[in-house]
Amino acid sequence: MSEELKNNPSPEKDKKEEVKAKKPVEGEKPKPAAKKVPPKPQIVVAPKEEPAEDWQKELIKKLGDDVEEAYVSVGEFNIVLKNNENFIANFENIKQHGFDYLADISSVDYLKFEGAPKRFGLSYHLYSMNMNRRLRVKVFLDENEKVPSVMDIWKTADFHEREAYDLMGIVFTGRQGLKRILLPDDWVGHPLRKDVDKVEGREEYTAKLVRKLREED
Amino acid sequence: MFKREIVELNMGPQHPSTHGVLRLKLKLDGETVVDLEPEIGYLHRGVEKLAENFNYLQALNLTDRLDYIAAVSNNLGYIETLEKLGGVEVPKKAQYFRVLLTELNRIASHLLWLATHALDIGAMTVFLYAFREREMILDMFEMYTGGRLLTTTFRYGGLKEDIPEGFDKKVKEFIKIFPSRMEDYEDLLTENRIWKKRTVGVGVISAEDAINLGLSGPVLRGSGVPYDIRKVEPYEVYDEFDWEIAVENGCDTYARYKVRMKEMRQSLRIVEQALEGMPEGEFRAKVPKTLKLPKGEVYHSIEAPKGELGYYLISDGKGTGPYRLKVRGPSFVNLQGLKPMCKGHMVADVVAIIGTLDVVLGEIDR
Amino acid sequence: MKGLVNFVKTFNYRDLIKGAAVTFKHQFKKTVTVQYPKQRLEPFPRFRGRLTLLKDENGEDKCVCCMACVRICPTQVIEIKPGKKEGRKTRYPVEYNFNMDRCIFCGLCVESCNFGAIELNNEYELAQYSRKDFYLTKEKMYLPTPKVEYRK
Repeated sequence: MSEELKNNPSPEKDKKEEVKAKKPVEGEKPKPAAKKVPPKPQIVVAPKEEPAEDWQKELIKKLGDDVEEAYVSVGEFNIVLKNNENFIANFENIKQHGFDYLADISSVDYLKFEGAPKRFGLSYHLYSMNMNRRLRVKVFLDENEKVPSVMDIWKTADFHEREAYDLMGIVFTGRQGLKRILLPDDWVGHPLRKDVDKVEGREEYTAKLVRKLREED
Repeated sequence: MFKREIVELNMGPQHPSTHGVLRLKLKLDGETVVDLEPEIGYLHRGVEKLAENFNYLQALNLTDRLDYIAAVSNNLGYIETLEKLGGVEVPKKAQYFRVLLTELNRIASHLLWLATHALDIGAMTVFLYAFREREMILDMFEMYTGGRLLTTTFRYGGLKEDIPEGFDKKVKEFIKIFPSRMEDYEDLLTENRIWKKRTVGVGVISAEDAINLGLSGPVLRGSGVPYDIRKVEPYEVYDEFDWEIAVENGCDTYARYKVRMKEMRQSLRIVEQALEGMPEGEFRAKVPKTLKLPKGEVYHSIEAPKGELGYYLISDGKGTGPYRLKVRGPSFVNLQGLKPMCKGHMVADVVAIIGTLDVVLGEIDR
Repeated sequence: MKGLVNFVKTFNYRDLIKGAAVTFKHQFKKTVTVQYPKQRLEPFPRFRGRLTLLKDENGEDKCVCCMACVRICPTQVIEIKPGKKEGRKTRYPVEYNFNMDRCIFCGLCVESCNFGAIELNNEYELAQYSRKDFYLTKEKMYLPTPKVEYRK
């Protein structure tokens, strides 16, 4: 960042435009430091283990072929489900297995993430009140792929699904009232997607403004 | 003979009883609520998107601003999520102090809830008293972190700074004073007939419905479900202390009031034990200066004053910031309970029910 | 007479009397409020106020322009232009621009500084009439915030 300041001491118009264009790259601040150290930094991956406990095996058996992958990572049990016609039935199965509390539905955009099978992902975080266990059910989705809503099973899914639709643009079928929740109704686009960059104009209010104003005086 | 008409009423977003910028679209039959729809998003700042552009330490600042009444709890949840993925061992002293501060924060949060909830219903005196005690806790936060509301308290692997001199004296003073002050609040409210008329039987929700709606925290425990993450999945050193889960079976606003009052007493017990048992030693584990986490994902939830606060963090192993940070705010989910609770009640009860849910709009809108 | 007896018998305002007793008791307690402009509370030493630059005992800047504070600042409100001068081994800040308007007082800059060159002071009356007064340059960074008089 220091080199850049040296290069642009005066706020000329076209140069400022350049700074603006550079901004998204600059946003990840540690990058210049990363260039100095070896070109390919080693990526440490949290290890994936085979599910060992009985209830985990039982649940995988119950879900049958719809399970794409099941593993334990960082002490958390993950199941990757296929998005097919059994989707709702599988969740009903899971609920009957004791997971009666849906804590959270998180949507993820894997656009810049290495090793993800499809672009989007949904993570259902479930908890069982009786067994005191947690479970994460994951579903991967392509762009424009729709997913059935679990609102009939857990009413709490309402807000979570609306949020996933609002910020990530994932469409849930088989439910009513899927509309924007946090953003205004006339908003265009889905801001949590990775191809949406930072909003321009933010930098105007940072320290560069102090310099600009002083030079005007 | 008479035509019944459904009237739509707009409550908020600028309304003193909505505790922020919450807008409710009420459908009324006379003065009875037929249907209700919360409109949120007036305070949306895009915390999750901002976190993707920040590194792990900078993103800690964002968590302060989620539930600004309980910033310490938010910090704790976030830092513990990082520690879970990074697999770092936190020194015992830091763990004890984290518990102490978080429980003080819980008391402060509940005091603010008590003050505003009582004020909504019409008991002005409690408001003044509760703020007086909250001030003592905020002074402690200021003494330790330098901030009163937005504390930015903990750091990866331990605490930010060592505990200052004279801090324990302040906590001891608070422990001495607070039980008698609690009795004052109870004298003012618990048996008060106006308070009971406004709260008993208002906003009833059954245990099954509460679980299905994903409610958590005092709202769920007020329906008789003993779900407290501090007990069922102990984090930090909560399993070393002697305390009980506060549960009530009333399912109504009065039960939730009693749960929170009990919880403040239990929190004080934990504070007392944490202060007594505070070990000597390091306050921060040895961690690298720039934090890098392994590629993977983790969901960690803690018991914030409002309920289950979860962080879902995905790290791509390359950057020094989160790839995706999803916040499961307890207020956001608890707000879904508003509709079933309010149906069939009067407009004035809506105010009491919003108060009993204890929503903070900073966390709902993120 | 019978009505009065009945009234006394059914007189059960214990809850209200209990509450009134609490408020009555508080009349004799010490006031906890502070009459603000006349009385002032002193913040604790760790209070996070306005960012200030520090000088060492020789009157030189402690800052060596390592840019740690610039990099860590979440709101990007610090900008440093480094320079060299004779008689000083390390770099010194020719310019140190700070936009307090957007500062969130998180204290990460002070935490990241390895040279103890900056600190957050204990000022809490930072209101100004004009937005321009929040834009601090290096000269203003050493001084306390000028006191603002009320004007119409």
